[in-house]
Amino acid sequence: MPAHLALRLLCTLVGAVFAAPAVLVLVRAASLGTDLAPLARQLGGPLWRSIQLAVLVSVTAAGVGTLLAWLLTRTDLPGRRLWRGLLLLPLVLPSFVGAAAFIAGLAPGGVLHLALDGVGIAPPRRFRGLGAAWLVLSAFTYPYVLLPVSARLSTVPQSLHDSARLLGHSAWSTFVRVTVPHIRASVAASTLLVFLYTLSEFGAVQLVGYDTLTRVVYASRLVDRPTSFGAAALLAVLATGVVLGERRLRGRPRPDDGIALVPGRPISLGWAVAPTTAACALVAAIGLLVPLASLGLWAQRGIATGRVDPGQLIGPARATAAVGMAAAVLAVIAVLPVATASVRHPRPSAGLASLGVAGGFAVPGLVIALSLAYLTLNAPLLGRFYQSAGLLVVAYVVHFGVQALGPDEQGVRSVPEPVRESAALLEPTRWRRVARIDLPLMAPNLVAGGGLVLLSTVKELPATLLLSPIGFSTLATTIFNAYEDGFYAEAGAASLLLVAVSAVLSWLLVLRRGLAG
Amino acid sequence: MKGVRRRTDEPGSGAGVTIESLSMGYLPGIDVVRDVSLAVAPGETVALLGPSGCGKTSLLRAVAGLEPVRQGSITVDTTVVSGPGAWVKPEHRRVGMVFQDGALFPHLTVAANIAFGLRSHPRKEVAARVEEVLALVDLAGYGPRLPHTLSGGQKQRVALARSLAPSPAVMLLDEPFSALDAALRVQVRSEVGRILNEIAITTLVVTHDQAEAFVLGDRVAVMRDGRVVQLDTADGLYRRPVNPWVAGFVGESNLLAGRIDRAGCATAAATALGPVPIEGVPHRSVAAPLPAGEAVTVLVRPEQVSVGPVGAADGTTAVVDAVEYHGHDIRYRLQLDDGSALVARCPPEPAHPRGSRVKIRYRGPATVAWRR
Repeated sequence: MPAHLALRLLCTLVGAVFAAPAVLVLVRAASLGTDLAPLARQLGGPLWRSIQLAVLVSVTAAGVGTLLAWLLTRTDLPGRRLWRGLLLLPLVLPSFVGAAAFIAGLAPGGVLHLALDGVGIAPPRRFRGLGAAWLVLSAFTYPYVLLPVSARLSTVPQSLHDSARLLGHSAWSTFVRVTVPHIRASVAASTLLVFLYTLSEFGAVQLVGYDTLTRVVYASRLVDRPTSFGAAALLAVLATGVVLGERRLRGRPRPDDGIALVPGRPISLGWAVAPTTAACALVAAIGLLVPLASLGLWAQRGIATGRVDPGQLIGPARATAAVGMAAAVLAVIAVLPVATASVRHPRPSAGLASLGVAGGFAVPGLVIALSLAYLTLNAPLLGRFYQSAGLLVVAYVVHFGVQALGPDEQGVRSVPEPVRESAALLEPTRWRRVARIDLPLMAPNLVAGGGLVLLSTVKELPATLLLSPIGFSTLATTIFNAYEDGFYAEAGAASLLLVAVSAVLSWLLVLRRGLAG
Repeated sequence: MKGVRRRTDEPGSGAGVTIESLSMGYLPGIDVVRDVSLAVAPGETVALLGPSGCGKTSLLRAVAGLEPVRQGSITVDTTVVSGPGAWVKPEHRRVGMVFQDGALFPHLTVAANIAFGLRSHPRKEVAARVEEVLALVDLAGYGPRLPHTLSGGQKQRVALARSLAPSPAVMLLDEPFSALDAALRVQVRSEVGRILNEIAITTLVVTHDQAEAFVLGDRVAVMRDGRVVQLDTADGLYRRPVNPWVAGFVGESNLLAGRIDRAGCATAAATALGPVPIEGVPHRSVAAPLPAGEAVTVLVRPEQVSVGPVGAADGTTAVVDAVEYHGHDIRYRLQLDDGSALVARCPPEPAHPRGSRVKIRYRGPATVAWRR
């Protein structure tokens, strides 16, 4: 069998495996056959709330993210580099940790509670519902808009602005007619990603008690299958639609690439410097300082009184690292055939396979987990995988594999045809070639891809909750359970550890490049 | 016909540009343009020529109103647009500009790009005007195309059409051909030169390419370190540069050491090449007639060196060090007996081979010399 045919088969297989959980949910939901009317009544509310929250959060994130991107790239705001660092950092907080930090902060003894008491304002008694979910999710998702849009904004050639001005357009008209069209696709694509993120969100909405579809799936799980599969199918359909839209926007060619970049003259903010700085400080406070202070205060208090033993975190940390690393390595290997095929033999089959891999990410982790749990319980021979760490790793690979796809493709590209040909002429043994040429060249990309998968698994909550074996807890589940039970001190310490790990990985893999740009 | 075509009937129309004692800069205390004065007559094209970092682009951007000035003033027609207490926004200056990268709006068609500056035109006239300027740059029918489907040369012509469409008073070109490859550059350059001549619009063009400046500019301002070193016609720059640096910047040159040797009213310099006639008093650098015996540097262009067989009656002997055959001429590098080197360009007659001995001498009218 010729090598490329084997590759195509393998690649199709991988695509199918990644798409399987979502397909299973849809098929299962379609074959439920139960009375749809009560189900529709039951799911109507959560569906409306899911969409309402996702719309509110994505619009807010788009506005805040785009405005900040413009301020940080095009104006003379003092301390722009510092602000850029601070305002991107909320990215490292998983949103359920953020939600938990606000809840703990407003609880008696929390940072916000103390601060509000101090200035004589009665602290709100609860942090719940749509408003709370909206605030928390917006505060931790706007960086997903800020990062790509500021990258895009910094590629608007100065000569385009200058031309528009000289053709008789004012600064405002130039912004509307030149800058906005330039960044429009980037804003839209990242807004859709935030929409998807909010749709899939479970931890934060669970903690603030806002009843969305993900909460329905989690609550009914395998107990009430019509409900859980109905809700999961709705989520899968919504997510797929969003992702297809996002791919269309992103896939549009950028004909302007290649225009020479002349660093532009920043726009002077003038009198607006003070209010702008205050607004940046407010965003940084909500997204970063208040949560960290809240977590820190509880953790410090717990450790000081001896109620929290930092040693207790070693077990969950080790478990997090173990499943995360396993998932990272497996994911990098699993998508490698797809990456190779789409770079070296770009045929429709390769495109379809990478769509399957992307589908694994589009569908909420909770839905993947539900589907895999159902599969192991019902398919022959798979029963012993139910409630095993192995199944959790598989769920991670399916859900986050797409994050290794891009880096893998980069890796394949870093061994171009002429290099492989000259290697073949100089070293006849195939495995030696792989070891001496291909792997060393691809290593940086493969490690980066694995790192991105690891970062995501560390922050992942719902699939971990659903699939973890009894007695197996990761940092994320430890934090979540502790908050649900009101153990703020323990949860605070674990959260800080999680945030630290996430910050280091994010810095190495994402922010370092974003800040350099 | 209205618009651009009408102007062809009245050459020299449009506004003049006067730059007076202009200084500007980006960092405190550092001026990139220093005390520049320059007057461009209505309809005239002046090329700003200089190495990168000499301030030529900054000067252009100041005329456009894209950069503020520190001292001095810029006047377009009779309006002070930049100066003490005066500031006209770029969008109100009636100045058109073509950038190095074309700067076409990538999301708009060619027609929409051109119409971008026609906001104040009556709607009905816009389409006609777009067609008119497209025809002017020889791109009729390209209106519906998107910029990324155009070649580099077409992009620059669209950029020119776009800035001409609102009938600006002054046209600014910022290294307009430097993004094009060599062959295309020559072609687009001639084309743009033809159009600018045809509509006789006042133009400032910035370039670091001597050939571009000579082809496009009625006059050329050579800039260095933020100052205008010499403002002259191409011929004046080439034959009577004010100093050795300008001589070298605008063309290949041999700078020979010599001594003034006055015989009657004609001045000549004794050099390794033999006697070379020297012009009287072309520049302030030689304000007074050079006294006999004065040590000077003499400018000899390569085509002013004639190369003949070694048996020729007079001249200096030299050895051919290298031969380059260019088709339209032959370039020799010659080694003189005193060890100095010289470059000569000769008509493409049968070449003297490398290593052969030849007789060389000065050929041509009087040249310039500077005190050493």
